[in-house]
Amino acid sequence: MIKKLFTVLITTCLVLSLCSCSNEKTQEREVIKQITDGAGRTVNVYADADKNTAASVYFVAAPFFVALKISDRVLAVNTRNAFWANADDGLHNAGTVGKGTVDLEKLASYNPTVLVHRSNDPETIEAVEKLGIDTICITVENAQDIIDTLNILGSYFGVEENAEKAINWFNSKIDLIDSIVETIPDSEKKTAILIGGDLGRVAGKDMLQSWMIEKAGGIPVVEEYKNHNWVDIGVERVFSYNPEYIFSTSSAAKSYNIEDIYNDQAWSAMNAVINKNIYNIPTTLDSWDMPGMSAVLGVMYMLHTMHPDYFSIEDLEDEVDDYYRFMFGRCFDDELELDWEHFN
Amino acid sequence: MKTNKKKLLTTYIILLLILIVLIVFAMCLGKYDVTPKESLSILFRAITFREQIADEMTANVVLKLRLPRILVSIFVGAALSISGACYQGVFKNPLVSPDFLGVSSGACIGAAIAILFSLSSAYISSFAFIGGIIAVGITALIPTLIRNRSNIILVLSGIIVSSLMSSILGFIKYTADPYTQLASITYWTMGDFSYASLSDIAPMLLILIPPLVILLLMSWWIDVLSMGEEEARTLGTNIKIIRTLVIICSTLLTSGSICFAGTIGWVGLIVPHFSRMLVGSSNRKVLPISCILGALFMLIVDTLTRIIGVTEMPVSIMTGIVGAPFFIWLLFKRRNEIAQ
Amino acid sequence: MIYEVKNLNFSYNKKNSVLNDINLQFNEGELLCVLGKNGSGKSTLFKCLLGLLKQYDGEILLNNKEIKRLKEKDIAQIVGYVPQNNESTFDFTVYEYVLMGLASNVSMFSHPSIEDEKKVLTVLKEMDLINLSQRKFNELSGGEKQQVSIARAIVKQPKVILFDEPTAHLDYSNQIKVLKKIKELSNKGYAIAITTHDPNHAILLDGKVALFDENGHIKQGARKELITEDNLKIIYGTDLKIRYLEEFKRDVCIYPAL
Repeated sequence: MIKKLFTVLITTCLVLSLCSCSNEKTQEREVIKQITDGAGRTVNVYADADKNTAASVYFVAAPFFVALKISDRVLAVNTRNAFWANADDGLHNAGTVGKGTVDLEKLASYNPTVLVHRSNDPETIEAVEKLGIDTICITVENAQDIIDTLNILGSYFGVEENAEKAINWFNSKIDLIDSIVETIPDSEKKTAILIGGDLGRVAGKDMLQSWMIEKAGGIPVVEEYKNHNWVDIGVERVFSYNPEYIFSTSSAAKSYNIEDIYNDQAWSAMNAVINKNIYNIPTTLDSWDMPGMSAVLGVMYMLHTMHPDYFSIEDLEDEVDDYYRFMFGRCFDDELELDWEHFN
Repeated sequence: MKTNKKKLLTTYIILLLILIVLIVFAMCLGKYDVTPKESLSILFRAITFREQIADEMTANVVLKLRLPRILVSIFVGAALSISGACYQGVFKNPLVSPDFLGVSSGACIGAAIAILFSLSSAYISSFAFIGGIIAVGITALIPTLIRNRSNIILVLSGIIVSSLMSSILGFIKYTADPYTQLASITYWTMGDFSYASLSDIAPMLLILIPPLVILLLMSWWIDVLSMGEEEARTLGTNIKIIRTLVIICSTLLTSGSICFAGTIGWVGLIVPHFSRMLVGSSNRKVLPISCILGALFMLIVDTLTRIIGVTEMPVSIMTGIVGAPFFIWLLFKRRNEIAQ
Repeated sequence: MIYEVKNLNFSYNKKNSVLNDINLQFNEGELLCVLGKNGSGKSTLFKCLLGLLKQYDGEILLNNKEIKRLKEKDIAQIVGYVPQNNESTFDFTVYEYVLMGLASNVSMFSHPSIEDEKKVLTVLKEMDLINLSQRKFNELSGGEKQQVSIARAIVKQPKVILFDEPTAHLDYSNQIKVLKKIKELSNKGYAIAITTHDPNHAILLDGKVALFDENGHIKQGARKELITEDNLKIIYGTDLKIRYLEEFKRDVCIYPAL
C-alpha cells in the first residue's frame, strides 16, 4: 500500500515535469540584429529596442544605465552607494530584486525585458532565461571593456547615439589625461600600489586599478595577477615593493583605515608612510575606482595626487564637475566639499 | 495488530494529503502575484496539455520557477531524511546525520575538484558521490583504528573529518579561479533551491529513486543492524553486504541531493527523530514516514524562504534557524530516554 | 552430533591463549553447563561456537559442517543465541524485538512475512509475554528482558540455544524463572548450552558440565563426576563445600564462612 502511494506520487511528479516542458511559446518580437555580450554570448536586438526595460543586481551596471540615459527604463537595480539612487530620478524610482543574487520571483513580478548581470554566474543566467527574460552579461575589467559595454547596452536598448556620446566623452578624457602624462618625464613617474579590502591584498597586474595607476603617470609595481581579481600577496610583499604611493580602494569593504597604517610601527619605514603618501580613492559620491565611467575620475585623482604640478586641484575640480554634469546634468559641489578639504 | 496497521496507514494517508495540500498552497505563494485559481488552472492546463490562457510570465513563474523548485525541495527533503535515518541505524547512533559524518562536506569537495578541472556536470555528480563515500569511509575507519566503537568516538571522528574536509574545501577555493570557478563552488556549498529547473527532475529521480527503493526494501534489516554487529550476525545477518549496501545507498542519496540543491543541514538529523516520535523506532515505518515528513519539512522551509524578506535567504540558513530549536525541543521531549 | 569441537585453540594475541586444546560435544536434548570464573574464556568459546570468531585453530562442527565455512544465515537457522547484555540503541517494541529473531528466514530485500508475524505472536503467547508485546524493550525489567530475549532465540525454532550468563544481573526469583525455562526447553528436545559462574545452577539444571580452568583447558563430563570440591577449588581458587540435602534430595554448593 505504501509503495503504491509512493508510486502514484512519483508518477504524478514525472508527468508534471514532462508536460510542463512542452510549453515553449513566446510572443515573437522582430529581431533586427544580434550582438555579442561581455561573456561571448549572442543576444538578440529587437526592432522596438527603445521599449526594453532592465533590471540588475550587479552594482557595476547602474552607472552605465545613467551614462546611457536609460535609467527611467530601469525597473530594479542594486547600487553600492545611496548617492546613485538619490542623484538620478530613474534609479530613485527603481525597486530591488536582490543584492548580488537574484530573487527570481521578485524579478518575474517586475517582468523586465532584460537582466543585466555579471558574466561569471551561469546558474542565474540559465534560470532567468527560462522565465522568458533576456540576459546580458557585462565584463568590465579595462578601458576597452568600458567602451564595449557602452556599445552593447546602447545597441540593446536602442540608444546608440547616447552610447556614442558617452564613448566620445570617455575617450576625450583619456586623451586629455594622456596628453598631460606625456609631458611628465619618466624620471618623475612614481611607483604605486593600490590595496584592496585587506592590507596584504592588492590589485593584480591585470586589474583596472593597475591600468589606472599607469594612465595617471605612475608605475604599477605589482607583478602578481589572478584573472582580473584582487591578489593576496601579503604585507611583507607589499613592504618589498615599497612603493612611493599607496592608494586604497573605494570599491570594496575595508578592514583598516589609513590612520592605522600611519600609526603602525611595522609600516614606519615605508616610503609612502614617511612621505604621508597613502590616499583613499574618493567615494563620497560614487566610487572612483569602480569599473565604469567614473574610473576617469579615479585616474585624474591619482594624476593630481602624484603630479600636482601637472594637474592642479582646480583642474581636478573642473573635471569632476564635468563628469557629474555629463552623467546627471548637474554638479554636486556641496556634497564634494569634504573631499576637497581633504585634498587641500 | 490489525488496528495498529490501520492506524499506520491512516497516518501515511493523512501526511500525504497534507503534503499534497501544501504543494498546492506553495504553488500559490510567492512574491509574484498569482491567484490560487490562476495557478491551479495553469497547472491543470499543463497536465492536460492544453493551451495556457494566462499570460506568459505568470505561466513561467508557476511552471518554471515554482513547480521545479517545489519538486526538487520535496525530493531532496525526502532523500536527506531517509539517508539520515539509515546512517543513524547503521551506525547505531541517533546523533549522526549526513553533515555530522562528513558526507556533505566530502561531496562538496568532490564537486569542487570536478569544477576545478572544468569537468562536465555528470562528472561533478560522480565526483560528489566519491567524495561522500571517502568521507564516510574515513569517519567509520577512525573508531576501528583506535579500537573504540562508542558513539562518542564516532561523533568525534565525524567532527574531525568534517573540519578536515572544510579545510580542504578552503584550499580548493583558494586555488580556484576567483572569477569563474569560485562562484560555482560557493553555489555548491550553499544549499539553495532557487535555480531548480524542470530538466533537473528526471536525472534527479534517476539518481535518487533506486537507492531510495533499495533502502525502503531493506528497511527492516536496518533494524537488525542497529542491534550491533555481533548480535546482528548471530541473528543471521550478512552484515558486510547489508551494511555496505545501506551506506552506499544513503551516501548516494546525500550526494545526489547535494548535486541538485547544495548542502542543507539539519534535515537528516531532526526528521528521523521526529518520525520515531510519531511511529516508533522500527525503520519499516520510520523510513516511509521520514520520506514524507522530510518532503513536508523541506517544502515548508523553502516556501518560507521564498516569501519572507525583501530578498531571498539561502534555505540552509533557514533550516538551521528552524532546525536547532526544534532539535532542542526533541531532546527535551526525549530527555528521559537519553538519560538512560 | 549437533556440536562437535575438536582440538580448539584460540588467542586474541600471540602471547596468551584463551582457549587451549578444547574438545566438546553435545547433542539434541542435552544440556551443557559451561562453568568457570569471570574472564576464563566462556564468552570467547561461545563466540567461536556462534561463528563470530573465525581465526581459531582446530575444528568446530555444526551438524557435521565446519562452522568457518557456513554463512551467518545457515548458522542462525540452527543456533539461537541469548546474549548477556540486551540493550538496543533505538526503542523497539517487544514485538519488533522478537521479530528480529526471524532474520535468518528473511531474504535481503524483503521484510518478515505475515507468517513470520504470526510465529512471533504464537511464541509470545506461549511464553505468556503477549501483554508486553507493545511495550518498549528498553523499558522492561531485567527479568522481562531475559524472557523476551529467550522468546527471540526460540521464535525461529532452532536446534541449539546458547545462553551467555542468562542469570547475571537477575534477582533470585527471576534467576529461578529463567533456569526453569531453560530446563523446560531442554526437555522439549533443544540442545542447550549455557555459561554460568554459579555451580548451584549447574546442579539445579542437572545436565552435562564443562569446567574451564585458568589455562583455557576444559574438562567435560557428567555433573556428578565433575562438580567436586577438589575441582571447584581448582576453578575458583576458594574452598567451596558440597553437601547433600536430604530434604530436597540434591547437592548444594555453599561457602562455609567468611
